[in-house]
Amino acid sequence: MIATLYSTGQLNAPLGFAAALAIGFCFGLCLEKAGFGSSRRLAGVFYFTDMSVVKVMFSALVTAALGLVAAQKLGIVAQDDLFLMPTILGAHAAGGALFGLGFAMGGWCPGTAAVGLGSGRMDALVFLAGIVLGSIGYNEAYPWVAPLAGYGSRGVVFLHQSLDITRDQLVLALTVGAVVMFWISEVIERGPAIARPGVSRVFLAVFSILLCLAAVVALNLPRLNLAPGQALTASRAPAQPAPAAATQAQGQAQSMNGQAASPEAQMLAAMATGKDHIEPEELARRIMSGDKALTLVDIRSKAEFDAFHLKGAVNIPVQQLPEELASKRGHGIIVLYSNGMTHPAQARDSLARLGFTNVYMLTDGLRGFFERVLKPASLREAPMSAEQAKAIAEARGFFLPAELAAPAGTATAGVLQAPSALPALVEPAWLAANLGKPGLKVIDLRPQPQYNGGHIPGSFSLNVESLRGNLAGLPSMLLPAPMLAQHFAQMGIGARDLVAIVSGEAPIDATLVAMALERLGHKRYVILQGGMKAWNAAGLPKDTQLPAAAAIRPHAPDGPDGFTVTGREVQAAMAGGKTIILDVRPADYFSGAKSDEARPGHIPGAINRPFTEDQAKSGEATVIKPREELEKAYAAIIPSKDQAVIVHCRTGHQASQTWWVLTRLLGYTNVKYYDAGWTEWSARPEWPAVSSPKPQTASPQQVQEHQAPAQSQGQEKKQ
Amino acid sequence: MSDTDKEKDVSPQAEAQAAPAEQAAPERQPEQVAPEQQPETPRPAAPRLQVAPPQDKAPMNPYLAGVLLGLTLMTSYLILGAGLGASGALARLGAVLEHALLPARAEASAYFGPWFPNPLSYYLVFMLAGVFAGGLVSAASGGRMRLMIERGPTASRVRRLALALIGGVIAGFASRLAQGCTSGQGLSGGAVLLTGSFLFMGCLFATGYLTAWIFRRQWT
Repeated sequence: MIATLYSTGQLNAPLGFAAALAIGFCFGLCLEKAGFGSSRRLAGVFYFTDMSVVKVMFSALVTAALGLVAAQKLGIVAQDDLFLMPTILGAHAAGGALFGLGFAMGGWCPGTAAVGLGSGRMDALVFLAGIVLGSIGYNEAYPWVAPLAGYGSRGVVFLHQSLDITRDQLVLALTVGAVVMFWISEVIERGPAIARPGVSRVFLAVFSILLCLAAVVALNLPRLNLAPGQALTASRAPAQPAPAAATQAQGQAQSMNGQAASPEAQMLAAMATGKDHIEPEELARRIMSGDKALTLVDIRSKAEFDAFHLKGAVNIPVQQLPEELASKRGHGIIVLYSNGMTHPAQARDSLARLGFTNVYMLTDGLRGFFERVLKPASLREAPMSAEQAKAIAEARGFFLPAELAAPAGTATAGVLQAPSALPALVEPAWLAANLGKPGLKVIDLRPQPQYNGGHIPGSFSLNVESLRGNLAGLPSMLLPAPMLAQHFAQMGIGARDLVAIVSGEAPIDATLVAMALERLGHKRYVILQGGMKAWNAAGLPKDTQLPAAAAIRPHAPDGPDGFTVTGREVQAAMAGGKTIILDVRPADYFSGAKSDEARPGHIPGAINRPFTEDQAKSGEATVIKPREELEKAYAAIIPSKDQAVIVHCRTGHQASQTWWVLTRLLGYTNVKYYDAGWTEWSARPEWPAVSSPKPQTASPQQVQEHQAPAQSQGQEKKQ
Repeated sequence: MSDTDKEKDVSPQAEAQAAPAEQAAPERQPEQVAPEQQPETPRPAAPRLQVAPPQDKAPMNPYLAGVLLGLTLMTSYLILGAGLGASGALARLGAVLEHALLPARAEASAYFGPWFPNPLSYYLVFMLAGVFAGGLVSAASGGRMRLMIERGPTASRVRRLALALIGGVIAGFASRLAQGCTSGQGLSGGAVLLTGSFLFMGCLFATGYLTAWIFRRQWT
C-alpha cells in the first residue's frame, strides 16, 4: 500500500514540492496537448463550436475515477490517505455559478491559463492577474463571505451517498454518461453549425467500448484489503512519532483552508485515527516556536485560567466558542484544552458540527501537558538523555512562572499516566493506580478457569494460542495482521488504547501478545512485570465480573511487519555469515541432547542464549531481569546495537521474549524474528543442522502436545 | 515562426499524433486543420497579433489527451494523496502580493493570515510552476507557441483583455469560495466522486451556458 505524501505529512515538504512540480508538469503537458492553450477552444464549449472541454474533462474524470476505484480495491491506496474536500453546498453552488461566469467571460480557467501563458497567450496572463486580484478580493471580503463559505456544510460526502445509490452504480452511470456525452459532442461538432469532422466513429466506438469495459473490470476487481482506509493508521504508527501526527494534522488544516464541518461519521473517523488530537510535545513545540497558525484556547473557568494557563492561550467559555472562533474557522489550527479531555472533546465535536474542521484537543489536557512536557527529568521513570533533560528544562522555563520550580504535586487524578516511553514494563503499582481510567485495556493471558476465579477488574481474558495458527503448512505461526486485528477489535481495543498485558507466570506469553500488537503497529502497550503472580503478591484487588466492551472496526496494516523473517531468509543470513543467529531454546535442545522436532540440533553458527537467562524470580513471580543486567549480558554476545540479529526458538514463543528484550528494552535496532523456528528448519532435510551429542529420538507424544493451548503456561518447564 | 523551426517541430508533432492517426486514419486528414482556423482561413491575417495562424498545429485526439490527463490525476492522488490544483497557488501569490503592499493587514487577515510566514511553501505553488513549464514545453514542441492575444477577428484587444481581467477576478473569487477551480474542485473532486465537486461543475456549466452569449463578441 502506498503511504501518500499527504498521509505522511510530507505534502508541504521538499519531497512533496518536487513531486507536485513533476505532476504539475505532466498536467500542463496534457492540457496543452489537448489544445487547452487556446482560450477560443476552451470558450468554444459554451458556444457549441468546440466540445473539447467536455471530451477531455470527462475522459479524464472517468479514467481517474476508474483508476482510483481499482487502486482502492486492490489495496494500493486507502481512502483515509487521500485529501478529500468536504462538501459545502452553498459555497460550491455559489462558487460554481460565479466561476462559470468568470470562465465564460475570461475564456480561461486557472490551470489552462497557466498553460496558455506558456503558449504565449497574453490574455491568459491578464486572466491570471485577475485570479490573483480576485483572491485578494476574497480575502478582504472574507468576513462578509464567511457565512456563505460555510453554508450547507456536509463534510466529506460522496455523490453516491447523496443520491442514495451504490458507488458501483454511480461509477457505471458516470462512465455511460460520459460516453453518451462524447457521442452528443461529436454530433454537435459535425452538425451544420460547425460541420467539422471530429475523430472517426470507429475510434469513438472503440473508445466507448474500452471505457465501459474498463469500468466493468474496475468494479469487479477483488477487494484485497480487509479494512480499507484504516489500514495505514496502525502500520504507520511505528515510523511516525507523535509530533508527525500533528504535522499531518497541520497539512490537513492548511490544505483544507476555508472549509468547514464534518458529519458524525467524519468526527468518528477523526477520533479513530487520532486526527482530533494534538500531542503535548507537538503543542509545546508550536507554542515555543511562535507558530502563528495556532489558536490556543483554554476552556476552563476564568479563575483556573488566571491561576495558570499555557502561554499564548486565550480563555473562552465553552458556550462562546463558535462566536469567538468564527474568524478562525478553517484557518490554521485551533487547539482546545482543559484539565482533562472530556470537555474539549465535547466542545470539539460541537464545533465540528458547526463546520470547524481545524479544531484539535490537547491529548490528556493540561495534566498530560504537565506530565509529558513539564514534568522534571528527575521525577521521570524512564532515564532521560541530556538532550531530553535540556528540552524539559527549556520548556519549564518557558511555560512555568519562575517560582514554580517543583510541580511534583500536579493534579493527575483521573488521567491515564502512560509511561513516557512505550512499550514499557510496568509494576503492579502503576497498573493499580491507572486501573479503570479511560484508554487503558488490560488483557489477562491465564487459562480461563484461573481468569474466571478472579482477575484484575475490567480485564479481558485472552488465550495466547488464539493468536497463532497454521500458515501455509507451518504450525504455531503468529497470525496475519488482519486476523490479529480482528481479535483485538472484538475486545474493543483500538489504536489509541494503552494495552496492559498480564501473563500468568511466563513472560513469554506477554511478549507473544506484544509481538501480535507490534505486527499491528500498535506500540501503546505495557507488560506487567511478574504478571498476575506479582499482582496477587501485592494484594491488589480482583473481581469475577466480565468486562463491558463493544467491538470496533479492526485496524490492520498492510504489508509485512518488518521484523518477521522466513526460513529462506535465515538460510541466506546463515550463508552470509554476518548475521548473528540467536537460538533461545534451552541448552539441551540447542545441543541436540533433547529434541521433539524432526531433527535434533541447531542451525550451524547459531549462538545459544536460552530465554530463561533473561528471566529472574521475584518471589513467586517470573520477571524479566533488570535492564542493566541484560544490557551487560547481551553486550557480550552482540557487538553493536545495529548488528543484524535473528532470534528463534522452536515455535516462536520463547523467541518473542528475546526479541522484545533486545528491541524494546535494550534498543537493538536490527533484530528479526524467525517465527517458524526450529520446527521448520528441522523439517527441511536440505537445510544443514549441527548436533553435538548423540540425538535422542523425539517422543511422538511431545510433538503432538506442542499445539495444545494450555502448554503456553508450562512451556518454560517443559522445554 | 521560421522554416527551420517548423522543420524541428515535425517529429514531436508526428509523435503526438501517432496514436490517434492509427485509429482515425480515414478522417484524420481534415482534422489536421486546427478547428479554430476553419472560419478564419478565408480572412486575411491580422497585421501583428495573429488570431489563428494557419500553421497552427492540431492538438491531440481529445479523448486520448483526456485519458492521459486522467492518469496524471490518478498519479497525483496515489503519490501526493491529493488531486491536481491551480487556483490555490494563485491565491498564495495574492497573499504575497497583499503582504508586499500591506504586510500587517495581510498577516492579520482572516483568510490569508494563517498562510504566513511562508505562503508559497505550499505544494500547489510548485504544481502550478510545473503546469506552466509543461504547457511551455508542449506548446513549443508542438508548434503551438504564439505570442498573441487570442480573440475573434473583429473583437478589439481592449475588450478581450478587459473581459479576461474581469473574468479572472470573478473566477479567482469564485475558486476561493468553492475551495478550488475546474481542476482542483471539479476534476479532482469529481474523480473521487465528491458531491460538492459535481454540484460545482453543474453550476459552472449552467452559468457558463447562460451567460456566454453576452460575451460572444470577443470571439467573433
